Amino acid sequence: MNTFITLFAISLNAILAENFILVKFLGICPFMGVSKKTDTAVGMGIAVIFVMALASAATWAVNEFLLVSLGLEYMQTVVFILVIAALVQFVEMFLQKAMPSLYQALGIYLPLITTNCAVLGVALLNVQNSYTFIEAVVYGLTGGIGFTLAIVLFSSIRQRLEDCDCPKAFKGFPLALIAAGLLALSFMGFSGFRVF
Amino acid sequence: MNFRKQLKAGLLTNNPVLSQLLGMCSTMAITTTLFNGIGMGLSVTIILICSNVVISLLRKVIPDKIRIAAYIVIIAGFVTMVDLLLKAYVPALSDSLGVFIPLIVVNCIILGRAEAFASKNGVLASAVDGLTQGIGYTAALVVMCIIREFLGSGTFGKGVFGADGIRILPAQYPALMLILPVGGFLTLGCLIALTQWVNKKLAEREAKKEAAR
Amino acid sequence: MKDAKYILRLTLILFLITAVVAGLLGLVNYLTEDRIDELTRQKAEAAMQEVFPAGNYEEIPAGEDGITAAYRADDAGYVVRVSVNGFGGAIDMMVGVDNAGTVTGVSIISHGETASLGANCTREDFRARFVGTSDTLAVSKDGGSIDALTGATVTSRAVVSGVNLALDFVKEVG
Repeated sequence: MNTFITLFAISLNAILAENFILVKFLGICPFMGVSKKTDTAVGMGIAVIFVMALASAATWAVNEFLLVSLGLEYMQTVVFILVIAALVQFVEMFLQKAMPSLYQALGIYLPLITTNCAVLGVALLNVQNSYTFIEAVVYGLTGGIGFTLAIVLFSSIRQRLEDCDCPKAFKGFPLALIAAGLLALSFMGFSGFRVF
Repeated sequence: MNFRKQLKAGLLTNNPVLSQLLGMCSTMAITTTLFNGIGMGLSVTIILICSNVVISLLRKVIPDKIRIAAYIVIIAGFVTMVDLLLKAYVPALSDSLGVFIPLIVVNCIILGRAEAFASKNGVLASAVDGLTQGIGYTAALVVMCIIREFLGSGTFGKGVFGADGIRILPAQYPALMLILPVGGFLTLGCLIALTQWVNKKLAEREAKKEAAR
Repeated sequence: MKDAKYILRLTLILFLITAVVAGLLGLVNYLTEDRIDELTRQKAEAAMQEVFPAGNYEEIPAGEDGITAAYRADDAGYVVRVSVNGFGGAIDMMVGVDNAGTVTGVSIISHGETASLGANCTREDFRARFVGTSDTLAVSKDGGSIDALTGATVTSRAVVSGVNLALDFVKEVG
């Protein structure tokens, strides 16, 4: 298949039809945790795009050149989580030195990303789908974009939920989950949408 | 030993999923059949007990600065072991849970309990905490599974009682939506609302008792 | 000086923990490896027997996109292992085709489809819809002869495309 079409199909899937949060259920914790305000949601989204793309590249390389060649595939989970933790730490230090203003904006979200299952998820799925290097990076990048899309959309819904009148037991978290469910329902509309 | 108190906390007042709102990814993703729910619950319980015990044992050896990294390595180790053992001895479960087994590593419940409990308490207490929190997680999963499976496919115990489970609703009635991602969000939302309501009632009753005294 | 010593200590402890974990994992892997391989092999063998019963399967070069393995079964037919993209990731399946180019059986080895919807592709009554056909197939929604699974058109299309791949492959080889 044409490389460009493959990449396009991967991107479209990652952003819409197989959205990491709303369809694959990866990265729910930050999705619920930092979606109270739109600007924090945007910050988190950008940080996740950044880390997911980098993590895809790093884990792909580590898997291909280290684990597979040494026959240590069963160590994947341990090695990937270490690579991601180190990567996040490194990005944090780099930003602090090189781009203090960006660090100010994203700093607090970075440590949270280590335990974001979307990041480990993308690394594992890259291996499972046996993507090439370019495909893996594109999948990570667009997966992050899908994450940002969902979290930004959701945060604007959630701001409106704050003042609505509903049964007391549903106040706060449960209502947010139900709103997220409706958002997931609307994303289901994309599921037939495929480029083969 | 206040085992009963810890059990009550794990099941209801401090349930990892329904009250602490941790580990929601797996809760929503895999709870489509009872088989998945029980399998995932047991796997997480075992990992939780093991990691709690080991982390509690090492709590004085691990320096504060690198504790998170150390915890993650220990947890990832246990998760991989369970993954390999499931692949070898319960292949059906490992097939149906797929990528969500390795993803237990980033399940916030385990890291959360390590940080909040095991790093401050003794070995026995940590083991009990792992067990009760694990039971709470499993209970939440099982309830989710039963609701979603009943409303979504009209059966009970798929995979546990034969491949198709026990059919309760005729095949044309169930709302398929419930076993799709949407159903996960909706069911969990309602369950959390229910837990909040029950917990509030319990707290009110306690308060009344106190006042009467 | 004290700082450097402290950092060295941290690194050492973390390294020790990682080393112990890695060692234990190596052990568990050593203990389970053979069993996992054996199970995978048995599963593939059972699927081959199901789609085209034969006494001897000889591996032949596959090569093409989507076809992961192919076997010549007793000079009477072929078993083709295909991997296609379904709704929730790759569907790994086996297709049996006899020398005349007719499908003798379809078996799904692994898939990531939604429970109760796409996962129904493993049901016998769905897989039986392919047996005996030899033309290029399509689901009825696309004007073909195969009835798609309820609520799982994407999965059904994927399985159909897998069977088509296998049929084309056999036409080329045979």
